[in-house]
Amino acid sequence: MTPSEDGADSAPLDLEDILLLDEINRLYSQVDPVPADLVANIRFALAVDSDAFDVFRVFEEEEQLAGVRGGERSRTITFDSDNLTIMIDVTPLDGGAIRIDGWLAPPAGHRVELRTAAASSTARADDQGRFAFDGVSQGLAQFVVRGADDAALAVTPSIDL
Amino acid sequence: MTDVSPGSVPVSSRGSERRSRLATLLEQAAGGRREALDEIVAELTPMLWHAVRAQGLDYHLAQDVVQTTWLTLVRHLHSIRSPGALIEWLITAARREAWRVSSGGNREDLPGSELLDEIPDPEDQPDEAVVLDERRRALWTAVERLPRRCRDLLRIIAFVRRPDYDAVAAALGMPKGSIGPTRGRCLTKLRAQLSQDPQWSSP
Repeated sequence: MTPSEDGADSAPLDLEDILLLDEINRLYSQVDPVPADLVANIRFALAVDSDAFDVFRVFEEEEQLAGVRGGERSRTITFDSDNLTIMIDVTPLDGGAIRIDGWLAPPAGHRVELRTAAASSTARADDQGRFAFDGVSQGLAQFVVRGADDAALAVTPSIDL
Repeated sequence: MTDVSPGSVPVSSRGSERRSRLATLLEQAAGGRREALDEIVAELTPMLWHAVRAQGLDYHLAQDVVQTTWLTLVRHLHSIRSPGALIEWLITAARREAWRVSSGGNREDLPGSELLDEIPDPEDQPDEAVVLDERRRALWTAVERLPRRCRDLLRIIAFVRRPDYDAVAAALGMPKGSIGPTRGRCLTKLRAQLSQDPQWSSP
């Protein structure tokens, strides 16, 4: 009972086919499972209070030793959207918190919101496009760039800071 | 994790019932109900994950691409009216995004299906920590030996309910009407390989 090779669009799936596809489903679910926190991370990112935003893509991510303070790792992440670019430096602070120094281009006095599971805080980008957040707790976070009318212009995916 | 379990439910289970549930959720999500979108995300992320991984993206890039695809959807949600259209849109957008990421942003165009054969295969072996029983190991070996297009097609439709196969075909650039015969040929090839493997016995 195999499906006809030259069958029509509606070539019937027999029970054997269905069971085999079920086994393929279980095989890939075991061999290459969906990462455990992916759905939660997506839901976190989707919980922005807007629906007309551009999406920042992770363009580049680098990790380097922050030499001056001896051995701490800092990360630089660059995000790109159709109209805006954000670069952030993430530096670990004593006590487990982090500092974020960011740069938004082109500079336009936008507000940058940092959403975390616990809270959300906002910084205004200066006329050079610079902004900063100090004492941020580690964990899942998302950046939202807002325009003059407070509407979200562009959002990043959620990232683990 | 319970969040991702719906996609792991075998395709044979109550396809039409779950499809009408998806249609209801889609309507609610387009109306701005974020919880409905959350449900859709849980339901269709496994399909997207396997579509993107089949394209050879590494573990982290694949997560970025799946997440970006969902964020991009929000803007288009009001113009998507059926589960089939949603599935076609998601797979098309994810493949385009995966293509963009894996080619370093040089190419904006969606690859034609013939180009799929040129993308390097993902790793050929499951993670060493994964222990497959003999039967599943036999299936893995047989699936890996399939032509690339067969393998990718079966991998994706294994995470999609049957009424949505046409939407998958459209997203993969397969001519309308060809998915039935193609799927049939792929399953026949797979079964032929399995029949030669003593570790495989019929369910």
